[in-house]
Amino acid sequence: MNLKTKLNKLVFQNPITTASGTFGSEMEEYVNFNKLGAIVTKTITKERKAGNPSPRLYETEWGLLNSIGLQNPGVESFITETIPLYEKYQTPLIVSFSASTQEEFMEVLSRLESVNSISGYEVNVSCPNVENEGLAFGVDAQVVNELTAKLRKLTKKELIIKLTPNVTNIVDIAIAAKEGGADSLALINTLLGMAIDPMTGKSRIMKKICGYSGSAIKPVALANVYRVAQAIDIPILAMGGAENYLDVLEFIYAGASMVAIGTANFYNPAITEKIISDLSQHFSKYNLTMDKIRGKSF
Amino acid sequence: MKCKLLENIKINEDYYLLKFSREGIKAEFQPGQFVTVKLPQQVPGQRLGIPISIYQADTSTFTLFIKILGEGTRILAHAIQDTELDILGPLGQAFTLLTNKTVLLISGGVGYPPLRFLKDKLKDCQITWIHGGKFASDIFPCDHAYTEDGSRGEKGLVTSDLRDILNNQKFDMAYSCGPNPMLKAVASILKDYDIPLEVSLEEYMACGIGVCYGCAVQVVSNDEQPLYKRVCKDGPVFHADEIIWE
Ligand SMILES: Cc1cc2nc3c(=O)[nH]c(=O)nc-3n(C[C@H](O)[C@H](O)[C@H](O)COP(=O)(O)OP(=O)(O)OC[C@H]3O[C@@H](n4cnc5c(N)ncnc54)[C@H](O)[C@@H]3O)c2cc1C
Ligand SMILES: Cc1cc2nc3c(=O)[nH]c(=O)nc-3n(C[C@H](O)[C@H](O)[C@H](O)COP(=O)(O)O)c2cc1C
Ligand code: FES
Repeated sequence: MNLKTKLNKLVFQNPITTASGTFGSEMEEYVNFNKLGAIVTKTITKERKAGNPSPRLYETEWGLLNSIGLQNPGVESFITETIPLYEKYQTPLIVSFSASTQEEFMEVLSRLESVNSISGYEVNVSCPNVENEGLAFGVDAQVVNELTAKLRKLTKKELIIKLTPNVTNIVDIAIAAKEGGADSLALINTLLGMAIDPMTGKSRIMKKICGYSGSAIKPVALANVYRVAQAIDIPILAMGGAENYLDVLEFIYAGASMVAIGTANFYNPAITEKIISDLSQHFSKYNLTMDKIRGKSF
Repeated sequence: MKCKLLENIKINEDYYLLKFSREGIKAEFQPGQFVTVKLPQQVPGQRLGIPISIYQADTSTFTLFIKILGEGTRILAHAIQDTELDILGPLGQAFTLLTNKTVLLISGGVGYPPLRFLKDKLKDCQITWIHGGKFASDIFPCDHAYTEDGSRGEKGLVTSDLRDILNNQKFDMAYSCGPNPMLKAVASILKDYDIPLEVSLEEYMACGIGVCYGCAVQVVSNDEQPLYKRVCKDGPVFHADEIIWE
């Protein structure tokens, strides 16, 4: 069935991709990567990043708390060691990256531009900006606008800005990214969360406040996607608690062109392929296309 | 992979042995490796697979040795025969297998199962196994047992007589699994005697296959930044020298 979809410059065989940080080449044993709409890789930074001390994880009633701290080997090692693992697949590769200054964002992007097999970029602006009192880049519309404009000048490839939901008004940030020249937007990154052992008072996560994901955040993600889709005309890569094809349909009705599967990969590493096959059957049965339903919630 | 529970044997109130069919699993099971097991029904807060070491395996079955700790392990331990459970594995790096050596095994509580599988696979080795636990119910077949309350074996910790044992006998290699404070103490004593030690670690896991970087353990590095490895993929078995104990 025709599951075809697109962002601004890229066309995909289906709307299912992987949420950054929840998927890697280790999944080859469980998923045929050629079946995916796209692959989004774990966020990389310029230099190696150690990540946070353990415990980094805690499972809540219907979600997951994580405090990985962007552990990654740095852009050079990513290019020589990780990229080749994906080059045998036809699936478009979208590379997520981050930095702690605008200059460093530009350096990482320039370095990645030398790699032909990268189809697009997802810019993770949820991390602390050392030039702005450690506030996340993504909470300041002016900063998002400037940064997007600088990155836009460096690449012709699909430039996706990934928004954090931990802001007063996500629409302001979305507009700032669009006006800066973003091709498309990804939303949402994790909410802020915490869990405490009630018997001792000890935080379950070493860094205490951390990222909250999984099915518990789906209503929040849907509301954000819907608001942005209503407010501006820009393709949306949606994520936040999608676990099955019905969740994916909700996101498409809310306005998403692509949907990323994150935490659900940890419950079942083969889930992305199952969602694609279920979605395909559903589209056949009801004679749907993406254009027929995208943004058509009423 | 759906695996059928062939048999569930209660050892005592806290410990259960679950024997599964390994039909469909091609990979060989090696001592030190683990599987993750999903609960038979969706339980809030218990949807991730539970990591459990492999206790025994043959050509058609594998067995897990489970201690009831919280809600997840309680439900698992009470799974009934013929239930099909979602299992991922075998996962992770195994213990180094030796032949014809003198070997010391040191376990604490639910650190027992991976060493039992290892013992079966160590060929022609002379093995001494010391095991400790809080209560009599935490003690399983071994050469020297220790309980904190003295209700079984010697009263004390598994490390209480360790120096005496090492003074009396030479060992080529040691393996250990148990709570972190115990592993830390064991590592520090064995270092004094220059005996190579492999430990099997536990850490909270989400994916179990190396994707999420959630199960980090800090290892030695000459970089000024800390270096973390993944317990699920780079471990759970590590050389003790590699670990920075908290
Ligand atoms: C590599 C490895 C091998 C293990 N082998 C065995 C074994 O052979 N037999 C056995 O009985 N137990 C084993 N465990 C421990 C077992 O995984 C935990 O006891 C179990 O996850 C507890 O779940 P619960 O819901 O019963 O308890 P909870 O009340 O949820 O938690 C009790 C404790 O278990 C830890 N824990 C909870 N969820 C996880 C998770 N997803 N990953 C890791 N730790 C968690 C918590 O930090 C807490 O300290 C192993 C763990 C690891 C990492
Ligand atoms: C363990 C873990 C690691 C993550 N790492 C990243 C990351 O490196 N970069 C990023 O942009 N988002 C990261 N995220 C956020 C996800 O990409 C996604 O936006 C969020 O989890 C919501 O989707 P979900 O509920 O389907 O998981 C991570 C999430 C989890 C659970
Ligand atoms: S549990 Fe995900 S990397 Fe180890």
